[in-house]
Amino acid sequence: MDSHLALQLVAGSCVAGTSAYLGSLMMTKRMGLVGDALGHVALPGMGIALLLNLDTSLGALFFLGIGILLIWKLAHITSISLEALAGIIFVTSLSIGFLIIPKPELLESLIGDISRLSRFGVTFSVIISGLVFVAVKRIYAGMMLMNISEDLAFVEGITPKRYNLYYLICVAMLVSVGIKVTGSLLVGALVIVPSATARVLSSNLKHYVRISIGVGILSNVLGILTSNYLRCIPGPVIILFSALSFIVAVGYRQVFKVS
Amino acid sequence: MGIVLQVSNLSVVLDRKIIFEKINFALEEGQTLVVLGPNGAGKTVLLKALIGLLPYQGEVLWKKKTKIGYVPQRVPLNRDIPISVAEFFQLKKVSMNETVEILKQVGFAESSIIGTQLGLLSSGQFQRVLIAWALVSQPDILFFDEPTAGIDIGGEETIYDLLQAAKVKRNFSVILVTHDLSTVYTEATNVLCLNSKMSCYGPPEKILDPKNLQAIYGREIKYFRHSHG
Repeated sequence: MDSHLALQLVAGSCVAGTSAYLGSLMMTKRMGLVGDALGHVALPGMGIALLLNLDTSLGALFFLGIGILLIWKLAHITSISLEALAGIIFVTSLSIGFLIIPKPELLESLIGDISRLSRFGVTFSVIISGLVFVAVKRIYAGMMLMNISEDLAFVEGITPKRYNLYYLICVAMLVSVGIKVTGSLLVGALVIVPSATARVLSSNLKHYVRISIGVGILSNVLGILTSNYLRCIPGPVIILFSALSFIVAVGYRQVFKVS
Repeated sequence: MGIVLQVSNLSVVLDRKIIFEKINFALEEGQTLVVLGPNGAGKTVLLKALIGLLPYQGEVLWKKKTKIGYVPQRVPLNRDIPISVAEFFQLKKVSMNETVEILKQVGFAESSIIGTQLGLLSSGQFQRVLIAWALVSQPDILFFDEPTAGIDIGGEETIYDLLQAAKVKRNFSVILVTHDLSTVYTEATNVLCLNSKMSCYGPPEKILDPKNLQAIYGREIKYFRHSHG
């Protein structure tokens, strides 16, 4: 195996595994589409970075930072749900992105291509994924309790406003590296499909988290190796493997009538 | 006995509507305050304001380092969360042994309940799990909002017997919201009655006369005092 392929597998697995871990939280928060929406918020930043010959993750991170601060602030001014606000910011960003990005760069921003990842990109992806993984681990119990009951969480000393901000920062950081793997169009799938598969198969939290991460990493490895063999873009292949795992899980549940 | 909670001139206004105003009471260690009132009188709002979940005007003074336990009236079960009863307790770092022990105390004889998914419990079982969840932290004060709603404990045992047993082990204070007048004499040190027009406060013997009850509930309430033997 050549070293570039090995680096892609390492970076992709770190991003996909952490995305799936965060996704397991997102799914129980009934906010499955927030990752998807934030993927599109990143688009203008990616376009500007491409035009300036900078790494797309840096441009994406800048726009995502502004995006999540707007979403978080608006949520507390208007009482509109985070998901709906993310939707508003997402369509606005998408429109700006379409206007300012030339067509070839637009396609690259939308679809992504992990096989073109630079050494800086690999390092950046691994570090950001690692940081987000640690952050998610720290807020996991509190967020899960909030998802069960915000009142119970509050009594236990958890401030929903603060936790929601941490959570949005985690999503934004992860999306900024996830776009390298799948592009802004499909980044939401990295987050939500593995946890949907895990939800179908698991009856407790431990299995749910482990299956989510496992499916995320496995889809990434199979996707990158297959696309390398077939000489096509990896992002969509990764997502198709992930979707396949969901179909197999639903089939398994139907056949074996798992409760 | 020291004062755990001192409330002065407490008022809550939500969406420009006065829910209640100028409530005053004090709760000492080990005492039980029963909050009575018809639906919509603001009983749950009072609990939430005291806990800090809702904004209020007035003064709420807690004894330092008071640990609060809260059993809400209703927690809608989110069946998207695949979490077992044991894992629910682990969210606040309760050990497996402690979990089994506290679940026994609230009437789960079989330990298999700890592996059951939270979303698959009946509403009564879930309510009992919530009571155990509140008690396991050894609170100094327990907020109990309509604890008998949806409870399916068998035989003669009631949720109040569980409460009494827990209080024998550890003498915590309780603020109990209930519709159940029969519990007032057995449980209450003091009664706080709420409705939109008036509020009253004092020991049950003084507060619970037919005239007062009619004023609280807006209709004649027939109630016979009886003691549990």
